[in-house]
Amino acid sequence: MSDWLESRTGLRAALGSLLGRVHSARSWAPALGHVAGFLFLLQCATGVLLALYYRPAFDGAHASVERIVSEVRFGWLVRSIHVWGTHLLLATTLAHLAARFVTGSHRAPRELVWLSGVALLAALLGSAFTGQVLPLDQEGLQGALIAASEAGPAAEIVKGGPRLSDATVSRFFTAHVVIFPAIAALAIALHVALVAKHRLAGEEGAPPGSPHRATLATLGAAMALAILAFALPAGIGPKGDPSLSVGGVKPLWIFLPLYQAMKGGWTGTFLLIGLPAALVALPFVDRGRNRLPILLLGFALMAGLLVLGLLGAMDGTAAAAAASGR
Amino acid sequence: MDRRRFLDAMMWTSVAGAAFSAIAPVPFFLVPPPGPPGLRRFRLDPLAAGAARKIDAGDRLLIAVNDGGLRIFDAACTHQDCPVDWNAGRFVCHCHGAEFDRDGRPVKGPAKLPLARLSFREEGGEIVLE
Amino acid sequence: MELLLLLLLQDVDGFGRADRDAACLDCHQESGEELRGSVHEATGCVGCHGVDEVRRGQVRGNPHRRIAEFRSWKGRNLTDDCGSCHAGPLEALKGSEHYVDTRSPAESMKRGCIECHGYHGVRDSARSSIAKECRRCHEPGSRDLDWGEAAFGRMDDLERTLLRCEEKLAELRGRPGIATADVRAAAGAARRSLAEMATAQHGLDFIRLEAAARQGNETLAAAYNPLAAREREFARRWLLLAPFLLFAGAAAALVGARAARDRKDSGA
Repeated sequence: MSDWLESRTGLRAALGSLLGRVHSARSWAPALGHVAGFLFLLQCATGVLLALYYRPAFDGAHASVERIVSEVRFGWLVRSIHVWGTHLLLATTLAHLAARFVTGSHRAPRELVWLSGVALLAALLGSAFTGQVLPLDQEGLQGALIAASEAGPAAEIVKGGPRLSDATVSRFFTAHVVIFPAIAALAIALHVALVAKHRLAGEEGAPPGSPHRATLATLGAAMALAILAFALPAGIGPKGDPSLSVGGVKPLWIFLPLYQAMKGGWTGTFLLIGLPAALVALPFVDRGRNRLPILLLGFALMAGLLVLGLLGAMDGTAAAAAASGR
Repeated sequence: MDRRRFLDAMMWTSVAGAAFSAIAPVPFFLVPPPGPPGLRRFRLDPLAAGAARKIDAGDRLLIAVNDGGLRIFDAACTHQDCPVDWNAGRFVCHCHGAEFDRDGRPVKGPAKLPLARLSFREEGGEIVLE
Repeated sequence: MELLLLLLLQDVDGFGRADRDAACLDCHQESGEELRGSVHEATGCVGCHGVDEVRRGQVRGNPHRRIAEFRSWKGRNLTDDCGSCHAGPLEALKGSEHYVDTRSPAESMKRGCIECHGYHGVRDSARSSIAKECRRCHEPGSRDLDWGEAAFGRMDDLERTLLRCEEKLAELRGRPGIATADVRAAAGAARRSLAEMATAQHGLDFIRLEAAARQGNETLAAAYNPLAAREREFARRWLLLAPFLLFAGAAAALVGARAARDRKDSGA
């Protein structure tokens, strides 16, 4: 049967050649990208399933997520995979980015590989952020309000009106389901095509890659995801109340450094503009033979972000402890 | 079959098994769970003689008709569930031309089963379905 | 003194409720004491006794007599006063043996609302408190008392079940994998029917009440019982995961073996 398909589409030959050029038999690192790609596809699949039940309305959204979590058969499982998939996808993407930085895979002539990856990261972050708003629990509402306030003069575009309403939900839903995934898909296509091109040209004498490492890594990720989804299934908190400003409401962990930096006013804007600028500028700045300064700078930046993130994670507990002691 | 081909076959079987057990919950997921129960009691303004009115009971559509007394039927045509209308002593369905008499029995068209008639009592100005 | 009262009461519109009551409380301190701390504290004296006629400037002579005439002690059934806000229970009471269709206020106090609930000092109208009042007239072991206590007992059972159910529902809300929508609907229906019973119980039709409460309790329990089973079923969800992990693990092992074999082949 696969011969029937092969003679009509040439799929096996094309895939084999592509995978052979993308993967290297030498190291595990490229498997990370493959795992991220698999997780992205899984997010799309579970996302479609969730969208069959989600109601993009200001009043109905939370109830529809409650229904998915409690009433729909295996709804809790689909949602838990989608939630844990977000965490794993973002973590894998960051690890992949860090690994690529260390190995210098962003240097000429691979600048566009790196830049398409940065665009992909931005799209994934956008998707994650808008996705967290959709259940309209307290975190969700807070996220929408923060996005609107950060947008400054464009706040009405974010909110779809003067206040949070059905229009806001429609916009966040469309962004999460169509806009950001489409950008991500294009970025992935560009990224993989460029990697294939450069791998063929770059590694002379390297044996043709085999996809086994990537397959193993993917299977491992799938198993880890399944275990997480079953062990720690995602529920949903109470409906968000826009009139409350509840303390200790945090965004996704990946946004914690920004959350912490925003408390300092200018530091927040600095991070929001500076970090993407640094990522985009990297291939053009890192040209010299001596990579040490850039590497050290990179590690310092990563450490700084980690510290900011931990501070952001901890602040609520400190404030809560102080409040209860009072 | 030599060892290599056997191991390869085992590998593909395992992959297929994993994929199947991952996809198996999806058909169950797709079937929607039952919604909230519909109305069982409601106010009904008096109907003129010979007049009918549709009532949205949440989980189904009802039709109440005053034809020498109040009768309430499930408005879903027993052919393919289009809502029926009351027209001069008969229930008519505009989708495929089915017609039912005042007792809900099919008299014309593709419907074979009678319209479901609901028993009710009046209590404190409200209709209470039984 | 009467002139002072006259002057005060003429401009009643400009007074707040406390001020209006102040004029009454000058003399009726005991009633005022009873009212304070009761459920009708906010209603005040004028809420039931009223001074409308006085306000409309029709005061002549002793305004006190005017008040007394408006809600006078003569020629009316005092339970109508209660019924001006509590229409449902009064309707039900009228169909029972505890209603006396009389024009004498004193008679109307003997068996109507006032008999069990009191008048100024109504504090606690919970079923368990009012039930004690029955024994003042009905002998223990008498048919009426037994029926009444049985009905109240079933209603209390229903309320206890309902509270347990609502507590559990609050705990389970938003928890993954445990369906609660049908139970929530049943609890809502039970709440509504309990409220209806609380009104209807004034009709003292205890046989019907007892049956309705028992039925309600059974229906609610039937809806509530599956919850524990659903929680257990969700705890068993790992059985679902096992096939996937086994197949995926086997696949991983075999892929690894194949990779090793390929390496050996290309190395050799």
